[in-house]
Amino acid sequence: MRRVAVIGAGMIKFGELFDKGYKDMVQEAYLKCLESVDKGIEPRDIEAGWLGCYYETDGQTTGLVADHLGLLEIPWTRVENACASGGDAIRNAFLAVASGYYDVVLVVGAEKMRDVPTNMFGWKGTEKSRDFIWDYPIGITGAANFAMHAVRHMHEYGTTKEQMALVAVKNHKYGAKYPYAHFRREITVEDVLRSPMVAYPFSLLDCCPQTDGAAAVILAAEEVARKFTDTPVFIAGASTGQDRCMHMEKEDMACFPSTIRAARRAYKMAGVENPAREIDVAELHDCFTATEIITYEDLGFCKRGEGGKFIEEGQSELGGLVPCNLSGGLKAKGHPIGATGVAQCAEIFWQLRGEAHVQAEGAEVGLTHNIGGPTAVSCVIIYRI
Amino acid sequence: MGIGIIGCGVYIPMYRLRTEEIADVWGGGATGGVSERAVPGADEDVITMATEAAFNAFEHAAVEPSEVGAVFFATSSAPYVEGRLSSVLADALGLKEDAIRTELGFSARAGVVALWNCVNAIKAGELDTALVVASDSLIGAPGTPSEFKMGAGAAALLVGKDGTIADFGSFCMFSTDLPYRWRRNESIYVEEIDDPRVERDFGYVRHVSSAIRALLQKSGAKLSDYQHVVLDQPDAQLPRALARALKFDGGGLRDEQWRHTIVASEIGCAGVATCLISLVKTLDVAKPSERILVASYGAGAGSGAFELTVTEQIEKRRGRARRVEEYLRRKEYVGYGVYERFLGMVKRAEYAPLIPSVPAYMRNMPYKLRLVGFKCKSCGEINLPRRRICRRCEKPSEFEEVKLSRRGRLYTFTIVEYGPPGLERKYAIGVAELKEGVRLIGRLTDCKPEDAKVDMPVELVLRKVIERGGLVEYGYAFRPLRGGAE
Repeated sequence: MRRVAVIGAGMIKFGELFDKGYKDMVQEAYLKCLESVDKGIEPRDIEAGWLGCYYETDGQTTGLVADHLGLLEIPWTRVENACASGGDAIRNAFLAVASGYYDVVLVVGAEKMRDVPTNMFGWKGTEKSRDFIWDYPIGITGAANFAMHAVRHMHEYGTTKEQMALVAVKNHKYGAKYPYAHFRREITVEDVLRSPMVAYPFSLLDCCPQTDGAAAVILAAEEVARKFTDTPVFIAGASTGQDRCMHMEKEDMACFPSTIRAARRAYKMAGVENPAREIDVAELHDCFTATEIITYEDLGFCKRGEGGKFIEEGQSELGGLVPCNLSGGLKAKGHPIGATGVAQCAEIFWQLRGEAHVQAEGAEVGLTHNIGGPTAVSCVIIYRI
Repeated sequence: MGIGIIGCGVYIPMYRLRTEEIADVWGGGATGGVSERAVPGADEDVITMATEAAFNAFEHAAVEPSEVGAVFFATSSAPYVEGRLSSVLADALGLKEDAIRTELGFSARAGVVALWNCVNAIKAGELDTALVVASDSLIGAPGTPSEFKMGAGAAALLVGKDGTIADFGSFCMFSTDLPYRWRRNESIYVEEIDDPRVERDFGYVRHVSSAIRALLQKSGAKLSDYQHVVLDQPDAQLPRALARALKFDGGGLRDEQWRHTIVASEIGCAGVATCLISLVKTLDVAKPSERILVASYGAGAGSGAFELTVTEQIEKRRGRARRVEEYLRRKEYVGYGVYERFLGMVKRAEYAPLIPSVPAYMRNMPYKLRLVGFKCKSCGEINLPRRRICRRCEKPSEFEEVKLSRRGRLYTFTIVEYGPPGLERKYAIGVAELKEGVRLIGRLTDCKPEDAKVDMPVELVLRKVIERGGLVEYGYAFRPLRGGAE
């Protein structure tokens, strides 16, 4: 297998983009990505395209992306793997380059979330990821899905709503400094605790928003990477992991087995033995605050049950053991599903090159994490400079 | 060996509306002696109510549903005018697919007519054991006299020849066309002519007393021979008028013969189920060799009366199933607006998308309703839902169907504050772990969402889960097991 590097990355300002359609968003992200390549790149250098996308758009999705990017001469693949669609699109593109088949490929992630009225979003999310006979009719919304894990974590480890609020406060603090973030304002623990309840234990400010967005990255084989940049960022390990799809069948809901499985394989591939010491900066899937707390544990940043303490002690802040979500995370930056994993890759690309907006000084090893659907799939990718 | 009742049970929804609230909304009105009416929750209908009553009857009789040769389902408020009724109940109970299913309705007398059909089918040798279930959820036309009188509830009687607790004697009916109360097909409301004395004298009193007179003649008994006289209750005042009017036995009815059987004052008129709920309430206290007379009444349809003699067996069965008193005590008051919402008089102006797939329903629902798991013959793991490759040993395996218990504990839960269109606005969801270690997901019911706690004991009850594209989907909800009817 060849080593594969990220050589360019671009993303658009995330938000409720009522004036932009899917086609507008992917074109903008793609153009920014092309411009970001240090020594320049031509569209004809790109040999294949991958798209991370969860929902349906305004047409045949991969087709319209290829068409509107003017990349009709190359093969395109759509990757749909719930909220891990973006991360998994990168993993698949990575494998195609690592195998030696392609030298340079493009990965686009994009999602149009706000063409759907907010009251219908509960159904839109669940119709894609709930068992139709047992789960769908009950109305297990996205927040409810993760809330049931959070309640279990609170029950087993005494995790508190205040600890969860600290995650939102931290991610908004960094999001305020991130030009692409949906929310660019700081909040307090009191703001979180006082915001209306959405699904116990999650209040409104424990939840990521419904956000439109797109991001794109270019991957290249090590052999050709330096033609495009002197500071490529290498993908050192990547894996997805699975867990049971239905909550009634999950054996342990105080953790995410899908993340544990994905991390185990990604760490092995990247040669990471002590993640808490070796990972310098991480982008985690904080769709809800408790998800980030449980993920600290699943990724081995701290021991099981100590995720609440980890945030309380500031270990995931800049200057802590593993700074997490310096981009604002899904909480402040937003979570346009297919774009999320790709935007995380862009952020780690900038972090390891020392170009980030909130920079983890001297970061050499980065991690991105997605978890999706009924917490059944997770994607973990390790990057090294 | 006589034909008789071998087990009985009822179900009464826990919510109550005080009729004075109805009077407040409309600026007055006569309550007909009904001080509170039972209000089914938003996830209940006559099918779910009948199912719980039937479960109680099976528990009382200690008979397996598979031993039952027929079900007679009586209701005048079926959720479908054409379509399913007893099928959902039969799947949930685990009745045999070749059991005879008979559905009756069209008047409040239908419960007793169902019983008559059942007893005669057994007498004819067509059946050994059968289930009779009567369930109704009625709404009186808003702002009219009937609104004060209507209620809801269900009763189930298992009828057979072995181990009877009360044996049937004669049946008699008396009918003329005297229409004063009805519900049209296109309406959800029961209406009545506002002419109380015609209703009393020419409707209720004339028909019921005529049926009773015929019954006494047929059986050669006197009114005073019956320790318990169960009179139907289109409202809670008519039985008193009838008791006074029953003069053909000398002194008429004594209070102690009939007063203790009345339920309509606390739950309203539960249509086909009212007099059978009263009968079960009576059986809860009746002693061996006592005689019971039951007289039903359906406005416009007439009266059906029958008699029972209590056997020694009754003492042995006590305490096996929930008593009527427990259901009458277990209550939570709601206001007029919630009553309207629960009964579908007002609906959330949004509906659920996605028409369900009937083939998918067919593949999965029967075992979902039957509440069975699939035990792997290699490793013993009970799989739910059904799999071909066992979820624990991960090998292709043979599976045997095992019944799951209907009690468990909450493993986790959440409270959805903004339910998507077509569902309740707010509801709690939980994952319950059953005794067998199998877990199930469902909504919490008959409690406030905030009552949910990890490890809370719950019981599984059949409830409506969603209605989309006109199709109601049923499934199990979790009811907290504490206080009230345990």
